[in-house]
Amino acid sequence: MKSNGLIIGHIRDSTIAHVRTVAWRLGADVPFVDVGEYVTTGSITDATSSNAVLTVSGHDYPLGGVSCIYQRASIEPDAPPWSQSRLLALETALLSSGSEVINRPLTGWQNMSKPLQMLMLESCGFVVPSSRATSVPEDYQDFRTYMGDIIYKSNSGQRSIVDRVSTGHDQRAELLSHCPALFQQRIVGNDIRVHVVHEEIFAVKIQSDAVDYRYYKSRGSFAKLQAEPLLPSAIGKKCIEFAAASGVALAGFDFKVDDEGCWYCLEMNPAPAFESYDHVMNGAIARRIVAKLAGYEHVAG
Amino acid sequence: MLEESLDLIVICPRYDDPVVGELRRLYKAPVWLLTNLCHAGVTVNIGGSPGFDRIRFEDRFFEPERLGGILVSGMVSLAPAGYSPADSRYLEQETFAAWLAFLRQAKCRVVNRPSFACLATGLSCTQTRAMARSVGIATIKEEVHSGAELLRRRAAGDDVACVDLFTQAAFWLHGKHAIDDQKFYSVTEVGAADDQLLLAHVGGRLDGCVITRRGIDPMNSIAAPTFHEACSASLHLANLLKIEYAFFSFSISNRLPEFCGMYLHWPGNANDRLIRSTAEALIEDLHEK
Repeated sequence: MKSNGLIIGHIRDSTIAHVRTVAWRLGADVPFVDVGEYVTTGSITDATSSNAVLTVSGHDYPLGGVSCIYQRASIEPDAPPWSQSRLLALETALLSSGSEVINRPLTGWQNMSKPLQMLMLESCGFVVPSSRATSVPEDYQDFRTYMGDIIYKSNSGQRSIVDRVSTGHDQRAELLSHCPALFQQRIVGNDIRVHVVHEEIFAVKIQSDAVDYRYYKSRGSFAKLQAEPLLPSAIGKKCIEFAAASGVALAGFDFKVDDEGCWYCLEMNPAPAFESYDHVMNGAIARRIVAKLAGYEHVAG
Repeated sequence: MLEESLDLIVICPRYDDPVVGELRRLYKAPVWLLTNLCHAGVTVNIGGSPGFDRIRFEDRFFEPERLGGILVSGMVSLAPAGYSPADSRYLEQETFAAWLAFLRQAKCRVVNRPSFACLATGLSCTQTRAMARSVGIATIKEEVHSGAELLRRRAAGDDVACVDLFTQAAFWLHGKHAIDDQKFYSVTEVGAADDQLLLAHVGGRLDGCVITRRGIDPMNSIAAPTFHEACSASLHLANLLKIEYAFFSFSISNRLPEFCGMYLHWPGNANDRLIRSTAEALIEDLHEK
């Protein structure tokens, strides 16, 4: 008999807070383990088995035999070594856990390299923007000359502010030899964020005058989010298939849709911070996760 | 069939890897060694972007189509001195990310193309053993303990094999390795005197040796069922982890071999015969595919 699920994350993580709030509103009894408390005072037994047990504040939390675990136990690079060693033990336990984990650590690993993930998305039938990752200044110049209007972003999973390339950047192209960057044809159009939770799809359209809508307050004037009921079924099907093939139950896909209706897939985030999108979906994403955690098929909205 | 006149690029973490040294001696075309990805430029095109993927290294360009192959036994991305810790980390991650895509797409033979378990995520030995256990492969017994617990066991005279989960440094408890009582460590039940079977895997072929207290013995010095079980487990793991070139070690103190760990580069023991046969197998593999 499987017991109720478990939420593992940082108490100040707004995505974790959102899921816990929705669980509370629904009356779902889903225990929560604060990663900060585990790291400072907790312990773990049988960490390399499928039945590890976390002990935090005198409570035991089995990681095997529960209906589902939702976790956002990320390892901060600046954390002290002892803290990271404890998080690595937790990561190993979640990798080995006999329970379903949303998402199991390291799944969706391709997101650590956007160009690599785009290659994989393209091979699964998604259209991706023409892009070049380079640390060779001549190759940057060549791409810039050929494509004209381009944007730049980070290659890795590190968050970066996406912006248009200007003539000022051209003059600093030599600096690329110190560190590569990812350059992409600029797609003009709305952003669409598609979340996949198991086989369900939740799409949100974002209209903004900023190149990177996440930073509209400093680099634009507005970002309007609204539920997008008209997701092409072929796109939704590909998202579900790609997420499943990547072993992730919860994923956030970023799309740009141009004026001709072409859907360009930018990336799939395997640890999406989805609360701002979920607010315009009336909590539908979190409800689906809570249903899984509580062992229900669905919960009413 | 590849022309042997085509250059080979070896991406490895060490200059003094003996297999790479032997490979350079035997290979009939130039072998270029890259031990730090930050020392080379890289370009990779996606989504119909025009132009060629290429790398710039040692003042020349290399295009994958014109290479004999690329052998990868470890990807080290280490920023030059002078950057802040945050900038260094950013630079290293950006470089690593670009190379992952380059190696994944390279239109030449790549031995150890990046995948989930191969190069990309830096799976630790503890995590690799956990994956092995999950597919039914017998592994050495292992637990995670706090440094405080290890200090107690050291004071009581215990000796066990330990791994610092943060640095991945391996050490024997009875030695002088500094132990942080706050950290968590992996502790395995493998004894210093236990015999080990080391198997080198290259593209589905296996060779190896037995490492004992007395020295190094040939593979056929152990019972056939033990040997066959270890070979079967190695092939299963190589297939599961999508790894073409690696070394697998097993404790053979019991009748059933127990998987200890996997290394993408020379693990630092074994003999000249295995070094030579592994280098020859790599050259054959590059020629065949």
